[in-house]
Amino acid sequence: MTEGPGSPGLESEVRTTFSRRGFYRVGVTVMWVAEAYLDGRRVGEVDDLVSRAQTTYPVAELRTVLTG
Amino acid sequence: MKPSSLRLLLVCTVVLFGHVILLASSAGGQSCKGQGIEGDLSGSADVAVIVGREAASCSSQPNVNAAGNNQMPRTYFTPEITCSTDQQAAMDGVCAATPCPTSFFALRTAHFVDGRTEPAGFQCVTLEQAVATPGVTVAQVFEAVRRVKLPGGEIGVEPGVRGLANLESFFWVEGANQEPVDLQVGGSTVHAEFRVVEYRWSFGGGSRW
Repeated sequence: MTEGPGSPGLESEVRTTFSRRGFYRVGVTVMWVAEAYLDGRRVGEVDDLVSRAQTTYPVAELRTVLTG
Repeated sequence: MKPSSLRLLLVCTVVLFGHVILLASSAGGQSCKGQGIEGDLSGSADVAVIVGREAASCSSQPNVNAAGNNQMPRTYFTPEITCSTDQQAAMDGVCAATPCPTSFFALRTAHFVDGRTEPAGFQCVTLEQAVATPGVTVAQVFEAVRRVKLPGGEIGVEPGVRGLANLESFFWVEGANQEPVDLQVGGSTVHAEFRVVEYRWSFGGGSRW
C-alpha cells in the first residue's frame, strides 16, 4: 500500500528513521482510481489520479558529551 | 460461474488468441492502424469462444441519417473499457496481449430501440472513438472524472512536535477520502466512485537548523 524510503505499515502508515537533525520536507502522493458510470452503466476505470499533502518535520539530535 | 469470473475468463481467452487475431487482421489490411478490430465473444461454463474480424469502421459513432443530422440511433453500441486506460499499466498486466496494441480493449453492449441490451462482443477503441452514450464519448466521461479535485489529506506524525535522529518516526495520512460524485456531461449523469490504491512517501534530504 505504501511506497517510499520508509517501512510500510497499515494503510497509509509508514515509519522512517532520520540519521541527522534538520528540517525535512515530508510529502505523500496519494494514488487513486475511479470507477466511472454513465446513466448507471459502467464505462470503465480512470487511473493515474493523484493528490498530494506535504509538511515540514523538524528532527533534533541528542549528543552525549563526556566531561571530567 | 459468476459473471465477473466469466468476464475474466473471456479476457484471458482474448489474451491467448490475441496474437492470432492480430496476424489475421494485419494480413487483411487494417484501415485504422491496429484499432480496427472487433469480434464476438460467447461462452458457457468454463469454455469461451472468440471470433475476431477486421472492423468495418474504427468508430462506434452513433448512426447518422441520410441527411447527415445526428439523431437517436436505432441500435447503438457502448463499450466498457475492460483493460486499464493507462497504456503502460496495460502493458504490464493481463491486457498486454489483447488484440489492441495501440488502443483499449472494450466489451461492447448493443442497445436496441425497444430498450433491450445484450453483449455484442468486443472492440478495440480509442477513448475519443468510444461512445459512452449517443453524444458523449468515453473520453469526455473520463475527462470529467479527472477534473474532480481529490483531497490530499493531512499528514499525521508521531512524535508530533519534532522527531529525534536515529529514532523511528511514524507518518500517516488522515482525510484522504472522497465521496462519490455525480457530474453532468452532455445531458447525461456521470457517477464516479473513488478509492485510494497507493501512498507514495518522500522525506526530503533535510536542511540544517
